[in-house]
Amino acid sequence: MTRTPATRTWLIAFATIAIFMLPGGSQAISLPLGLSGTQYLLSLAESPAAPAPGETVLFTLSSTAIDLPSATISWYLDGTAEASGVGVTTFATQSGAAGSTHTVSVVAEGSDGTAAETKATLRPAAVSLQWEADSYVPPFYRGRALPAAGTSVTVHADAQLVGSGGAALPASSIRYQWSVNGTPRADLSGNGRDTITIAGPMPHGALVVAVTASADDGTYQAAAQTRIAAVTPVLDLYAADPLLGIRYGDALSNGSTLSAGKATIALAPYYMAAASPDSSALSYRWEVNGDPVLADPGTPSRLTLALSGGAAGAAAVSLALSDSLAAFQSASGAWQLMVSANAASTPFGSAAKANPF
Amino acid sequence: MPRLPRIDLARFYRYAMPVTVAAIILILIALGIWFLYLHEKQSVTDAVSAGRGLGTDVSSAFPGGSAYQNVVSAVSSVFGGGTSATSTPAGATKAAPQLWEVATAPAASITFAKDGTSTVARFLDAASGNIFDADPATSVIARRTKTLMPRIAQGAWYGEEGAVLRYEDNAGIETFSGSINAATTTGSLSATEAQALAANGPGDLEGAMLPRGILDLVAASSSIFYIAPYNGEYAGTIAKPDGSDAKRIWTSPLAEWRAQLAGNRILLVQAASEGVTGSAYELGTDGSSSLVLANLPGLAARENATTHAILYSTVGGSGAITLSVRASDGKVQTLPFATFADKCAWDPAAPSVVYCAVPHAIPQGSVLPDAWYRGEVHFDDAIWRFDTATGSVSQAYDPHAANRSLDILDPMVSPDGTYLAFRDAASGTGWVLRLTAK
Repeated sequence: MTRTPATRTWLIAFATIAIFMLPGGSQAISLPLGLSGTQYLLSLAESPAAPAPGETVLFTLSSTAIDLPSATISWYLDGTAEASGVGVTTFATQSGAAGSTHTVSVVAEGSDGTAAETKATLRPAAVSLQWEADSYVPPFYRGRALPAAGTSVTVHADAQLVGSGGAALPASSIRYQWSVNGTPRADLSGNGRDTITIAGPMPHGALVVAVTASADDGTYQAAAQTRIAAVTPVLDLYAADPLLGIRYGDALSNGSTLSAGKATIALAPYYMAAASPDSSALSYRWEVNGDPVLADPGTPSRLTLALSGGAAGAAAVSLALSDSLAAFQSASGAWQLMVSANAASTPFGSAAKANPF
Repeated sequence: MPRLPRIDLARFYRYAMPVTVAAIILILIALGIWFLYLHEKQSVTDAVSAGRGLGTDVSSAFPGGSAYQNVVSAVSSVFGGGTSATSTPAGATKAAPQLWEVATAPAASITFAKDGTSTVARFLDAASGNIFDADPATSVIARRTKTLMPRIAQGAWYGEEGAVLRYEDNAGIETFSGSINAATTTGSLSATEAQALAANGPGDLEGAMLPRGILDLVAASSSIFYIAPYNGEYAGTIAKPDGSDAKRIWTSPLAEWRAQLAGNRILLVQAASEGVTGSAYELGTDGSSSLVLANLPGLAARENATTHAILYSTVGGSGAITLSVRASDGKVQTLPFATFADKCAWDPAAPSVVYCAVPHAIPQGSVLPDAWYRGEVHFDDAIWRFDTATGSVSQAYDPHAANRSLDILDPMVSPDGTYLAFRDAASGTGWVLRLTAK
């Protein structure tokens, strides 16, 4: 596209007048070549728009006034020339630490003599999304509580927005805009609203939670998103010892041997919505060697296996578990266990009903 | 005069007699059931009582307490059992084997205590809550406390004689903090002290219960830091070991933080799960915090108490395990091991050196570290040494050399860099490995 000198003059004059009419416009003019007012001829895009500290940022120049492929383009970082050449419309650099400020300037001189320049300020900021579910995991469990059906998820956004003075902006000075699965959630958004609690994902589904954290004055902005996938509850059986407690460090598996003629096993229903394995919301259906067995109603997650006759034997234990509070939540498991006979057996069967165990 | 009713014997024998006999039979059956029920309840009560230490002999100069016997009689093959406060079998001055299982009974925690030139491994018996000192130089094992607290799941240590015992009760997680009664000995045991202990018997663990529901806790020489629910959030609190002078220095809307001490700092790491991002903060004792690791999948970490370098492992959604070190200047170095930070320990005597238990093979098809934390899978580890300053890598020890397969958990290196103590994740037992050949 070519323009007559008169047109160019009018454009520059108009742009100059316009920029002085903008609030704060005079502060924005500090360009390497002093081509004041010409930044309206250029457009400088930054990707990502809200860079994190240390992240590579790509700047792309475009213009409707200058033929950039034939223009000589020079890039500056904090006033120092970094790159130059004909048609060099992109420039990549790495952002600094949180709170740092760097200026990227670019000057484009068209083949017809038209020159313009513009700049952008690089203000890296970051937001870390942290979450956990309110599902059940046993005491002292090292891992994360994950969301199965019927659970809730708490998501916290820790925005690392550092003001120009070097101090971190408090959460109350930051506006958090949340979206869940692409839907903006105005009801959860607002100044200082850095934590949300929402219903967990549907079975086999996932939540994509995104947040944009912006400083009150709009100078700093950071965005992040996280995917929270639904899990299937995990049922693990453990030996429960009167002296050692429940042996959470070593789950029972097929072929596991319980070292007594009368042994108690305990179930841990990982990731279910119930607060406790013995919650009244959970319905247990135990079977031992094919026979239904009733556990103690007070502790339905535990079952005592007692050998009849003092001999060692195998026990096929199965369990179907459902949660009345979570419509889609149920789980089942089956274990082939061995019970050794090194402890005195009793004439009694399992906890509530006579059985080979 | 009223007329007495006439007894119709024929009617009585026809109707009343069968009813009476049936009632007697029913009563006898009910009594039988009652007897059987009481018998069963008594068995259960006995087991629970035993679990609480009732009926267990109180130790004396030569304690015969069953809880003690459970531990010391199961002390590794070096001893073959002993019932005195100090286990001094024949050849007690003989050094323990390079890889030493200090007891075959599960330990809730193991650490090192130092007294002069002697380094002992101090461990907490999970079944009794008793504290034992195991001296790898002499093979002597001494019971330091006789206070019974069964079902200990987790322990921590402070000062020369302090211990924190944590267990699950019906009401939730309980935490007891106490110190070994100085009536016996202080510090670890010299041969003379061991003899004195044998004469005087082990002491009590005297202390106080801390607030209920503490989610995680670490202990330093004269203070503790714990995370507990507070006003709908979770607060990190610094207090004296007895819980006094508590001061909340940090809060979070999230509960699942794993704390560890790193010199004068506390590292808080989100609980790990495969492919799930986690973050870590460094916390100062004044409550200042800085985000040091952010949004890393499956994050677990161990911070160096001297250099504050952070060793961390990540597990991506594909299950790939990566171990890295982030120096205090932020530079990241990747280690040539596929293992979890939970299996690594910095060497206090050589701050650039880290020891890691590295599985010979990673089980395929398991979600890690979740399945490992749940106790569903166990590893067969060898111990490797890595110098972050030079990049040198060497194998420190392979338990296969002692025909052992160990799933190493929470290792720690003794202050002088001579020993590595750890627990086996499968059995829960405590172990000591001599790192330097003697």
